[in-house]
Parts: sequence; C-alpha cells; structure tokens
Amino acid sequence: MKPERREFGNTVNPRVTLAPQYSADHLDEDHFNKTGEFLYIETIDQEEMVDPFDEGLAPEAYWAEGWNLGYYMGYRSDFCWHIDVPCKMFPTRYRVADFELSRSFRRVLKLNADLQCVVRPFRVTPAKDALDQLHCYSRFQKLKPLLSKIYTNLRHRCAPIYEVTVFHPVRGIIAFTLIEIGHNASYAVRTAWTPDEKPRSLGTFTFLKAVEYARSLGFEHHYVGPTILADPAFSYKLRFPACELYEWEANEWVASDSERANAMFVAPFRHRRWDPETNDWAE
Amino acid sequence: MNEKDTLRLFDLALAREIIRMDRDELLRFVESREEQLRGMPGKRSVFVFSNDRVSTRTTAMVFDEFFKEDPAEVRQMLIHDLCYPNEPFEINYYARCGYLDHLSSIHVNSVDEPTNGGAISSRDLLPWPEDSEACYWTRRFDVLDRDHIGLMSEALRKNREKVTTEEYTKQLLTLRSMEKTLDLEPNLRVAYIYDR
Repeated sequence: MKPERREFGNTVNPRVTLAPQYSADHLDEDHFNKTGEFLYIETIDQEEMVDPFDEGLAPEAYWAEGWNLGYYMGYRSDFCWHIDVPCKMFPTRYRVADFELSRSFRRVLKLNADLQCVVRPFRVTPAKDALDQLHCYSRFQKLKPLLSKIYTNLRHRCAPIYEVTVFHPVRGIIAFTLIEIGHNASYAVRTAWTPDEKPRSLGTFTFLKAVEYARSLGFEHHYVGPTILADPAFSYKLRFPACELYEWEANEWVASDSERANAMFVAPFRHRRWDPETNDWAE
Repeated sequence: MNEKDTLRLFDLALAREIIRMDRDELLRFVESREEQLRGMPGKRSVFVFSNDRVSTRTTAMVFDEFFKEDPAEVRQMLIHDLCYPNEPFEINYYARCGYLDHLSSIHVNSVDEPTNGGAISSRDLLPWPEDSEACYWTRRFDVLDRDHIGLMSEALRKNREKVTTEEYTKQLLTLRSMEKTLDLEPNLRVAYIYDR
C-alpha cells in the first residue's frame, strides 16, 4: 500500500516544556511499617488541556515529553502499581531509521507470511471489540472498557488513529494494533491478538508491521507507551532494537541498552518526609 | 462510532479513463462534458465555471492554466464531479462492520490485477503524488463490489433488533438498491468513503 500523504512538513517544533510536577501522594508503607516514619513517594501525575482543533498542534511534541493524548487532555505519569509495589514507568519509543530486523524477527515475519495485513482509518467493530476483551483477559486477567466506549469520538482526537489489522485466511481478524499518526511519528495506543495462536508471536508481528508502516511514511520515531521493568507484560518492549526510554529529570531520551538507562532502572523514587509534629513537610 | 462513513456509487471505469488520459484527451473530454459540469451543483471542476469567467477566456485556456499548475488536481476534480452518480449515503455501524470485519476488505496490491474479491483502496487507485493538492482533497475511500454490499446487508439483518425499524428499513433498502444497480451496470462499483 502506498504511504499516506502527510498534510504538514516533517519538521516539528517542540512545545514549551512544562517541568514535571511532582506530588507526594503515596505513603511508602514498607518504610512506615519498619520505622513508623511518614515517608511519601514523589511521583509525576500530570494533566493538561489540549485543543484537538488547534492546527498547529504537533502530537509528537507531546509524545516526546512522555504525554499521552486523549480528546481534550494530555496525561503523563512516571508511576504505577504492580502487584502492590510502586513501579517506575518510562515512556518508550524506537528510532525507526535504526530499527534493524534480527534473525528472530525475520523468522516471525516468515512464519506469518500467510496472514494479510491492512492499514486503514480505525473503526470500532464487534470483531475487534471481542478480540480486545479476549486479549485483555488472557494477558492481564481483567477486562478493560470496550473499544466502542473508549473511541466513540474518534473524530475529535488530536492525531488520527489508524488500525493495522491482521487477517487469517480462515479465521478473519486475529490481531490488530491501533496507532496514532502524527506528522513525523506514530504512537501505538492499543494492541490485541488472539491467545490461541501463540506460536505465531502475533504481538511481535503486529509491532513489526506498525514499525514498517512508520518507516513507509518516513517517520522518525514510533512510540509504544511506557515500559515497566517489573511487569513482563510491559518490559518486553526492551527486546526490540533502537529502543529509547524517556528520562524524566533531564527531559531526554536515553538508549535502553545504555549505562544511563540501567541507572534509571535502579534509581529510587524521590521521597518527602511528613512531620506529624509540625503537621508539614520536613526539610 | 460517530464517524459518518458514507457509500456512493462509483464509476470505476470512468475514473480509470480520467487517470489514463493525456492532456489533449482530457481537454476533449472536458469540452464534451462541459454542459453537464456547468449544470452541476457543488462541483469542483472550477475551470468550467462560466459565470465567473471573463468571456474572452475559453475553456481550453482556463483548463490549461489549471493543468499546467497541477494535472493531478484537474483529474481529481473531474473524478469528484463525474464518477459519483448519486449522493452519499451514511452507512450505519452494524452494516459497515459486515464489510470491515471481513477478509475481503483487504486491498489488492495492484489495480491492474483481478480483484480477487478484495476491495481497492483509493491510495492504490489514484496516482496522485504525495504532496499534491489532489491528494489533500481526496478523502480516502475503498472501491467495493456487489459482494461487499451483500456482506453489509447480511450484517445489518443479523443486528436487526439493535436498530430502529425506520433505520433498518432505510439502510437495507439503500443497500439492496445498490446491489441491483451493480448487477445492471458492470462499470459501476460502490465507494466506501471514510469520514475524516
């Protein structure tokens, strides 16, 4: 399929960077149980209004600072709970030009040569809704809101959403990934695949197809949401080449296989101590 | 689910002709269709606007002006004005899913090959360069045949209880009428036009 025409040039001016706003909302319970001290974990949990009709809005300028874009809001956070343990989240992206296929990725493509893929504007359909629920339950042991509920207002999103849909010659749709299309980058917002075709590695396959599409458009980066090191459902992202992680403090992207990334993984959260005597944060 | 995707009859043979024609053939074609173009409401083929045109400037002069600037846009305008014989019809969620969830919604790789029952994407059909105005104005569409419309009718019937009787009837009648038209007119297809 031919690449889409981009309506703007490839140059994206960075938006004015808002410094990450830390808030100390989470009591470090481990520390409290051991010492009785009120130590709070400082995390970033920011929201910002975004005008989806602003023609000058460059989605990738937001993505490059760890934001996700909704209808009218941008969100970003460096924190989540995994099995009741606070974990760091690192927004993740790939340098498309440097993304080289290893032998195992080529094997995945070859293994799935009988499947057909289409890239087109995303439309919610019953088949995709059912597949999404099946995938969520098998992978995360919980159900998520239906696609038809989340994406009722596709027309009002800042970046159009396209679907990379994978069809099996007999079974129909067996995998899809939804990608937001910016001016020089794409962002995978949701992926689902049928759990009963495990040998096909459909998650990897759809990812490779999304990168292939980003490459066909001449994009610089492909974003995939956050990596959570402790959670295998998210840490798999580090297996792919040309991977970069967002360094919150420095507002920079760091190669995932660098020393600096390793240091980011082991760095503890910032903490603030609450002083019950003065009823205020301690110095 | 709020996207307003539409269906329109589409003259694929004529569109291919317009894409194939060189400058001279295209001018002759415009002159032969000038009356029809002038009489159309909401047309995009601005080079035949008679009212706004200084009387000394002939159709050929204005045509050349546009053609020199962007031949793709001229062709796009003609396709827009002449290849859709009816008004757009908004297809509902249940009917459109019959097409979108089916394997045949995958586009064939080449428009010159037999379609293998697959739809044709406007991205493959229209040869506009990526940065042309024509590309900007063309809304993305898939060219469907009768079987695709059949899939939509079937999906609509399966979800009969989920739509109002009025909507069900309107949708089904339109789909059936399109099926009949495609049976009678071998050059015609249906364009599934994606909402922006």
